[in-house]
Amino acid sequence: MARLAERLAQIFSWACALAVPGLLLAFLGYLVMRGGPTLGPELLFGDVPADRVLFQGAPVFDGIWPAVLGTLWLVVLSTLMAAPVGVLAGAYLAEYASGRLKTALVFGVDVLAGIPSIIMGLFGFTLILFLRDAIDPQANVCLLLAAGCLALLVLPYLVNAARTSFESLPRSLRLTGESLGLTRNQIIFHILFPAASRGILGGLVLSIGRAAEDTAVILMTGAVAGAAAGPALFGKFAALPFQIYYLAAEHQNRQELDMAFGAALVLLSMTSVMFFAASLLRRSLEKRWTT
Amino acid sequence: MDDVTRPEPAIRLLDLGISFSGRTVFSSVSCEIAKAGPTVIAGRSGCGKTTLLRTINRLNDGIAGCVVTGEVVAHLGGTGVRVYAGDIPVEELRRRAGMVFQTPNVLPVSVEKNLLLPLRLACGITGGEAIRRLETALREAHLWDEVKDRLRRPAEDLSGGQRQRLCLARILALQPDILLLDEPTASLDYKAAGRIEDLILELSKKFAVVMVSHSLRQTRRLAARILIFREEGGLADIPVETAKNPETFFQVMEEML
Repeated sequence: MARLAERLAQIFSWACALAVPGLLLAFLGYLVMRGGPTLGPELLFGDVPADRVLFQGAPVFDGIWPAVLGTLWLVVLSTLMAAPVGVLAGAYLAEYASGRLKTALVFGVDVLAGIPSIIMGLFGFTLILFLRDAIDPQANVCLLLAAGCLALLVLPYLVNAARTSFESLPRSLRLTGESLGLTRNQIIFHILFPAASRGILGGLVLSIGRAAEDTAVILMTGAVAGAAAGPALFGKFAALPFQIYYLAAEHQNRQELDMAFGAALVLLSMTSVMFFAASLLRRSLEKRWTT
Repeated sequence: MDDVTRPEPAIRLLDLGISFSGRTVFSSVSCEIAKAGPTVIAGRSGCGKTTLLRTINRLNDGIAGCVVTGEVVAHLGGTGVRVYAGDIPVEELRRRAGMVFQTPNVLPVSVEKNLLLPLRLACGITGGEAIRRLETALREAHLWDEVKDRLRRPAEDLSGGQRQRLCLARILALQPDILLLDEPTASLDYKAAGRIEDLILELSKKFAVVMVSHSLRQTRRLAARILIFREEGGLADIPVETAKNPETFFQVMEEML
């Protein structure tokens, strides 16, 4: 009986372990099946020739190209804003903060991580209302605001990734630095930081994915469906997640719905390329540090 | 001997004591350690030998709740400096009183960077001078011939004995006055340990060497002076002649401990 139970438990855990890649394959397969045929210049640029869009800045009305650019800008801007703050805050929490202050700060970061993205969007929206009243009546939702709110959304991922990476480094590494007569800052920035870079870059990859896919924040901070041109910092913008939602919600026929799947494939490919770039960055940093 | 001609001791422990969060590890330890050595500190496990060694270069300071009483006077760069009175920045103290640990603690970087990084950060030395110091230190540690063709390979790929010699070379490159060795052969096999011991004997001609050892064989082989860390506190000398005869040595050790 006990043997049978053990056997069943084994089969069950095998099935569970296989279910995850199985589901992923099924999901990707369906996405490729529906969206694959729509991939091509027409999905990106509509009726306008690609070279006119790329080299002459011609507006695109029926394609997702403005949304591709919008998402790219959002990810780059929000990462540029969040990464330095997040990594340094994580380093501070792990290496300098202690006692009650540390407990309070870690709690704060966890609370921030738990805030739903729609509330982050609402915060951005309210900020604009405040700015209109207090400073500039012309203030409006825009790409920069959306990127700022996304940065706030992904900040806790980066802080926690950096903090846990620093904290999981062996004590002997610090002791080595101290015994060689290095200052605390030198130990942190020249020994611990490179050693923690793998975990930190892992957090960066997570945050890139989160910034690329979030819809709720940009919904309230300036994303529009029909932007014909690429984004400007202080203008409204198109972005892929919102474009996918719009294409799916408003579709009139199967072809239009398939375009949403095509756009989803493009978004997935974009994030994959960004992950790949992040891992290349990690490898080159590691190489530079170790030799 | 006349005080004028007597050489300045490398290290003087003056009524030294240390406690962690109120728990006393040792107290009232006074002793003079000459430059000529090696001086080997022996004693039971857990009696505070490593802590004593780390008190000399203030490596315990980073541990929460650490309170040191008394003073250590170290002869560094030609003058005696009071370690705990702050005569010298703690970073400079640790560079001049270099430490090697039980397990080789190479940095997870290349062989050459293990030497060049501390040289650049602690001494501000780069370029040709750094390369010269690197080669000299690796030669002094008898490691040059083994690693000269693999300087850019990860230091972690070296054998245990090579890694420990790399740690010694890393300290030597910083041009210390005192070497503090905390059971440097504890994690090595007999042969690798033998090479390190040869090296220690050689280095003790140039530097003041203070070493903690658990091996009676090693103590007998290396020590120019044997200090026993007694359980009731305090360091006591064991005449080195006693060590020549293993039986009397063990007997004396038992009595002292």
